[in-house]
Amino acid sequence: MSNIDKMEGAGNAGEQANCEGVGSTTVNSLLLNLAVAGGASAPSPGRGYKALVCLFLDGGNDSFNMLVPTEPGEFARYRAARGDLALPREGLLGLRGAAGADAARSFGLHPSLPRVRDLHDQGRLSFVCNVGTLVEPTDLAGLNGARARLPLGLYSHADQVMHWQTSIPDSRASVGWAGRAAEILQSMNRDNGISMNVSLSGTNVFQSGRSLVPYSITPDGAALLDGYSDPARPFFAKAVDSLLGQRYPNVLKQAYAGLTRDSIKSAGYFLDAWRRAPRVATAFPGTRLGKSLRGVAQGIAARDNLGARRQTYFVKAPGWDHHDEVLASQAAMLADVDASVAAFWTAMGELGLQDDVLLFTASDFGRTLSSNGKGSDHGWGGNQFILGGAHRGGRLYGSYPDDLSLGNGLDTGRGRLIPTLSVDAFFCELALWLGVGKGDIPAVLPNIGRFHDLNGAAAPLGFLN
Amino acid sequence: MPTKQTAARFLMQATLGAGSGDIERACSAGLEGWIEEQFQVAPSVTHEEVHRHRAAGEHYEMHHAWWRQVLTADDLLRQRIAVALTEVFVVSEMSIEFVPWEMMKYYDDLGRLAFGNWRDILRMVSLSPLTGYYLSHLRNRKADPALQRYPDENYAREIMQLFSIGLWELEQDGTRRRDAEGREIPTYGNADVMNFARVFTGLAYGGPLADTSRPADFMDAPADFGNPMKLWEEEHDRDAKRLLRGFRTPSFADAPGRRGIDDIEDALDNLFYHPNVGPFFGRLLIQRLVTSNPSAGFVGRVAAAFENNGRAVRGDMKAVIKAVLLDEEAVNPPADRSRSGRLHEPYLRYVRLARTFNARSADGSFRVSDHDTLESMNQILLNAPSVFNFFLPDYRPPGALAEAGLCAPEFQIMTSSTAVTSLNHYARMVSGGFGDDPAGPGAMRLDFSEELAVAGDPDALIGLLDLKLACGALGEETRAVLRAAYAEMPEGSTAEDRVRAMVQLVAISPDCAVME
Repeated sequence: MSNIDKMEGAGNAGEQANCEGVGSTTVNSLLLNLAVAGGASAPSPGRGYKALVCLFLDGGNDSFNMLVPTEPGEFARYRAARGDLALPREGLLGLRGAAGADAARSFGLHPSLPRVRDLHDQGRLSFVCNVGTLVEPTDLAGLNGARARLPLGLYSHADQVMHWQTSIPDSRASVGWAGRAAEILQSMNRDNGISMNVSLSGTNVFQSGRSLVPYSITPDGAALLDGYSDPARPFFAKAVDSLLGQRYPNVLKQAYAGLTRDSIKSAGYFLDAWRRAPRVATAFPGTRLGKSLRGVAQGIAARDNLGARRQTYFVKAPGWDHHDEVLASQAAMLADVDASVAAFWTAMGELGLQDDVLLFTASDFGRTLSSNGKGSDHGWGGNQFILGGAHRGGRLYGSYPDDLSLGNGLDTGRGRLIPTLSVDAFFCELALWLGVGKGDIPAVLPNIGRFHDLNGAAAPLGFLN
Repeated sequence: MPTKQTAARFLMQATLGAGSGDIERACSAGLEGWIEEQFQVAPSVTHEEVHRHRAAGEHYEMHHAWWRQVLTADDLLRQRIAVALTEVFVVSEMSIEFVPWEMMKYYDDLGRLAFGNWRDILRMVSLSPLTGYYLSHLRNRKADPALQRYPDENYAREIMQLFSIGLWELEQDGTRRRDAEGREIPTYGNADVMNFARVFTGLAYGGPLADTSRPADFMDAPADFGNPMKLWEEEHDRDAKRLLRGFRTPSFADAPGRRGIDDIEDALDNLFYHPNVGPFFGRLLIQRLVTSNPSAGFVGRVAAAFENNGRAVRGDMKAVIKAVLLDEEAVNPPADRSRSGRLHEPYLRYVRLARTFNARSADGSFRVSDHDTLESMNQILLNAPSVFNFFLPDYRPPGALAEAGLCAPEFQIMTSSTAVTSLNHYARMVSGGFGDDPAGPGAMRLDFSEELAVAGDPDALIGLLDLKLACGALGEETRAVLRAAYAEMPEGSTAEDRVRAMVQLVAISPDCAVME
């Protein structure tokens, strides 16, 4: 917390990042320059804008009811495993068969997702299947023989949320992979104290770096400190600046002072950029999620005023921990996702950025296939979707298990499935898309080598064009 | 007799806010004497008030009763502990049907048990229909393998991870134990979760209309959030269960007369007697009241008090509370203040302003429902976003704090937006009315009469605010900034203008926001 003091004048000559005393930014500019000199893996400053939007379905989406197999044999096994949680086959929204997918298989979406289905069928949206946190490729034999190394606190919310965001499930840390990516990419943006990681849901691990916190906004932008700009009371701003600008020997006081001071200064800057930006006209649902995604769209609309060429956005949609009432609750919440995400897609069309913004979902874990009589419990592998970013859409990536029977070869008990795709591989492709060079991937995703050969020709999932 | 500063610091930890009269009382009674006095004060009650008003068809929210209690009742210590307990034994109105008086009943129960035994708190929490609903052991049924249906594991996990023992085996001083190879030792695994899930089967809505002899009532009895859950034997798992640390419950076939509640009592005992509880719960309470990073010695002393109150009683909350509040690390700021203390919770900074300045409305009501504090501060009583509370006890903010290896949980909800909006919230309550009727007769207003009496004397005014809002910890530089601001106020500023501006600035200052 950081370079706010040099913000003045950032609007004109502030493009250069390598001023004094900026901590990580300076270091990263240096890394960037070295990488450029090495000819390898630096993000090209000539490229246009890109934003990665993480929609985190907090609590653990029951995603084997989001994406359901409909081939009769597979569906019968699904229905047997899920018992009273099985969705009726006739209500599922059939997905257009994707090129390259196993022609004999077919899938349907939860009935609350008609717009998501349409986006898939139009080739704009894809699913990532049975993905989850892994320390290393894991199978049932290794797990039962206690040889496999497993994520810490497997099946617990706090740990799985953390591990989905750090991509390092063999430790507990508060530095996320977007935070690490930002330490590499932040220097592509104007040096104005606004992090490239912008959150509509406050503090989160995903976007926190070693010394970098996400820039937190509300659906209405940023708040100004009351009275700070009141010309009749100049003593007030002066005193606030002095109180927050002192050096405090106590680190908590210093952190509070720095964060408050940076927030006051950034708010003025950010709000100005926000207000000068074109107003997003697309109508969004009035739900919390709709408002948040509208805020993301409006923030993206202000990108040029902010001098941002790379951004991530984080939106957390709470309440997916459906131990209870999974059928009714999830139906209503998926409908909200459907409408909000579709509005976001329309808004990106309005801004001409559908190919430059990629939205992906994440969630703590999949849930048990078996019922507890009311809902489902914490599981492991689950299904997610990605939208936009000119990815090769209309497909299923990873491998959707062809046998969901309880006791299948991935079932650790009650239908908790061992992921067949690691979050590392998924995130690797997202990070490459955002512009992290191959050579920097291990710095962003330290475990990637366990799941993917970066020197090979193939992409981890293959959704990039 | 403690100094005023010592008493003010103590009350900053032991209450939700203290005025001049409270500080004088603690000075004359002494710190321990004040605690003993508070142990004798009868618990104030909030839920009956909510129930009464709502039964009469009036608009009345749970926070209205809570604010009346905070601003008028005498059981200051009990209220402070009850609020701390809501952040350990978390249930959240956000995820539960609108049941305002029942939520306050839960809160009142925490207050009622705050000076009792910890085991009774865990029992109340485990049988509360609010917890049951929130953590889904309400209507949790025994397994039916034919249907591929298994007991719900949610409460089984959270009672261990969050309410009692935590994830890792601890020494009494709170440091993690290690096995022969130097690895940390998990307190439980998934098999244990599945066993505890079977313990918490058979519970459903209690209340006068629920009859456990009628099987259908398990699913059909009306929702009742005001009475403990009841247990239906035929829905309870009757097989033997493996608890932690080698304990087992017997199969009901081998134990004639055994009932479902016996399993639950055994499981609660199994957790209560786990050596982790003292250091685990002790650290959480220290973090809420005193400091984010207590020394191992501090945690150890509190855990020892939990273990044995001096009369061979385990879990005596009075002993635990005394051990926290009277510890040398609590009473006096440490010699090295560079890493000590905690950031005050943003919502409690606001509550502290209201209590310190004795907020009242013209019509005598306390209509404050705090619908806006969630957005402006990320916090509101009994409305955590999840069972993990508003922030995690081990949260380390990136940057200098993480580099120093320090936890600072409250920073997790201090974002670049709430850093500003929380200050605006404080400023607006200082400069005008607050609550649901901010411009009308129900507007809550702060009473600055003591400050107005010394408004013409900047040193006296700053000294008074220093004691009341920062327990005498305003640094020399901060005082100089305040004196300069006072001197630079526009000519013609009234006494009220001056007092309000100074309160606002003190409230913003790091010396007030953080207690070292």
